[in-house]
Amino acid sequence: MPARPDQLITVGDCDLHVRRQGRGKPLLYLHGTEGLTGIAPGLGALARTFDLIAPDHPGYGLSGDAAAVDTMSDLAMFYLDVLDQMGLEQVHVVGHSMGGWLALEIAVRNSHRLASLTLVDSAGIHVQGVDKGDLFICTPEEGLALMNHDLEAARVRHQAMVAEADPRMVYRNRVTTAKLCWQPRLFNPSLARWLHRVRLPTLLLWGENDQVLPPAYGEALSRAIAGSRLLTVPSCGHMLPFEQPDRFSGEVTTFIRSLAS
Amino acid sequence: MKVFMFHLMPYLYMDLEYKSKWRSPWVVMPNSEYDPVKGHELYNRFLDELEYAAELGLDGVAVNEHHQTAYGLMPSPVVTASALSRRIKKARIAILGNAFGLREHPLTLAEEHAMIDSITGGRLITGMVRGIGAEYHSMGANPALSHDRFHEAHDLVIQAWTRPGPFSFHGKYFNLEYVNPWPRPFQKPHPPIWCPSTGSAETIEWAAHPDRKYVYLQNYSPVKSVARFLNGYREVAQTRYGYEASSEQIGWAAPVYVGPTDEQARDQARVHIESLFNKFLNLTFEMMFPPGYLSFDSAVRMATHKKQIMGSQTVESLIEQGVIICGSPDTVRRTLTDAHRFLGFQSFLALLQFGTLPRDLTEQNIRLFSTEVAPALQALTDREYMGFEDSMKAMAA
Repeated sequence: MPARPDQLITVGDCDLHVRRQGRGKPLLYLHGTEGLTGIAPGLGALARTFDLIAPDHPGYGLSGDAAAVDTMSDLAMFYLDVLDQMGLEQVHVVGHSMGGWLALEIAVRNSHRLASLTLVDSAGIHVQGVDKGDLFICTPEEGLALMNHDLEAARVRHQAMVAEADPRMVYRNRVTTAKLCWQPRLFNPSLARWLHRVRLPTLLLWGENDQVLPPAYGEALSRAIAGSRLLTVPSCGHMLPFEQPDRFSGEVTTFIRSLAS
Repeated sequence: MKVFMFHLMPYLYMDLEYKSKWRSPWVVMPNSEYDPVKGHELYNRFLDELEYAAELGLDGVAVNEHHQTAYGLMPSPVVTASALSRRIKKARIAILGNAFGLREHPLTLAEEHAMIDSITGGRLITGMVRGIGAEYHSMGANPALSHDRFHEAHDLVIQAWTRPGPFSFHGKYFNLEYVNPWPRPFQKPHPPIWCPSTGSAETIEWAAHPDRKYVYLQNYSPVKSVARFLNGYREVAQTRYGYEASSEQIGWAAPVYVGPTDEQARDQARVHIESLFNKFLNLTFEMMFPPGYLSFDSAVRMATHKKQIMGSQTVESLIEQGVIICGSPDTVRRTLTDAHRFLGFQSFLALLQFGTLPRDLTEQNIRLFSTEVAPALQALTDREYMGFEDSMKAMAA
């Protein structure tokens, strides 16, 4: 099926690596703090229904760096350029964790090319009194326990990732995540003030046991985004697309199909 | 040689059996473990110790900055240096260092250092550091931007001290319409700048640059690494920058314990020095090296270095590796004189209080070091140094 799986497109000074797969409505998948490594199962299912467009953000994976990108606001502007350059219309955006934050930053700026948002365990705002989990201070083993509900399954996925991934790439991914998310941790203080500008059909998918961004974050986003729907997935932590790939692709597909009718 | 006493001001009442409860005395150990009454006692005791070293004729005293840790109670070394600045009348006061890039507004540090330099009539030494990795957790500073931000903070401070104000400064991180600090530093063009480090290639190259020629200070390292990095500085100066580094540009900082005899020194220092390396200096890799704080290659290298000095050390293993210098006055004097002959450093900083070392032993250590060891070191000049080429040959052999 993958007629054109890997593309390198030049946007500004950055060679952006894009996995593009399948046919149908365009679906832009914005990855989270860990990069795209290991995401294949859930995305493969989406590529059976959609024209899946899954870039490595600048500074991650096989993409180059973008000199203009220091913050999540910069990265949102960068993706508006990407959408313009690719000439995409009616794009369904799916963002996980940091990628959900990015989707919101894009949508409050300009949503003319967008058709819907699916935000999965999404960062971007701060909820007073609800602490986030610290992805940066924990050891790799503690990180797995923090991010996943089923630790054993997470270990297996992690080992497969480690066996495959170039340690330099993993380190670079982490450095870029720190650059974008360290301070303020996983949010932009001004974003919450502009969420009324999100006027797209929005689905919020949340792991019931998310300890990085507890479900209270999903509830706060659902209150801030008019008409959005929050769906909480039981026995699932922060890594919903990894932990529940079938549920993930199923809910995204059902949501987007429901919009067409 | 100039000889200094360095202090970390540890919270030495820390529960040494913390490991079952908290992973580290850094960042995560709750500050309910800190008792303000004991803190009051410790600050005054430690300040007394530094003043005592100055009275006994050392060339200077040195303090440093760490945040939110029992390892050291000096989040602001400016406060410590200020407290010393009117009590110590002749010796130098070194802040080694201040983390200029951690501050939202490094100009405040430029002003404060200029004040201390003015009060002391030009006896301040300014250390410029990025702060260790744990500081980036504690202070909410972004480690991925730390090199850039540190360099820009440095440029701002140097300009503030040397360019006639008011002028505007526009950088990536700091933007000011008026840079015009009163007072200006007493020393011209500004206080000497030192760069303490555990041996990052980036720091050595930056400090040795001909525009800077800052003093490079190697700390917490086996003596073999000290040799590699100090000679590394001289080599970078020579081969990359084309000048001969002066011995004034390099220094070494190490824990020192002097007792009446070698055996007594070892026995007296044992539990206290082991508490420093095995308990107070216990940081996880993630605290020490947050993403972007070091390049990938440096992070891999430093992880190995840290494994050498942290963990299950004994006083014997520390002496054996030359991480600490411990023994009778004769032994300590001979060890340091030999090291100087080989490496030629013109500054030496002795950490004379460490870990849980109590007041009486600290005072004995300060007295023996200052009176029995330091005078011999202070007499050492480049005449006793074998020279860079011979040193490189000796190191290769």
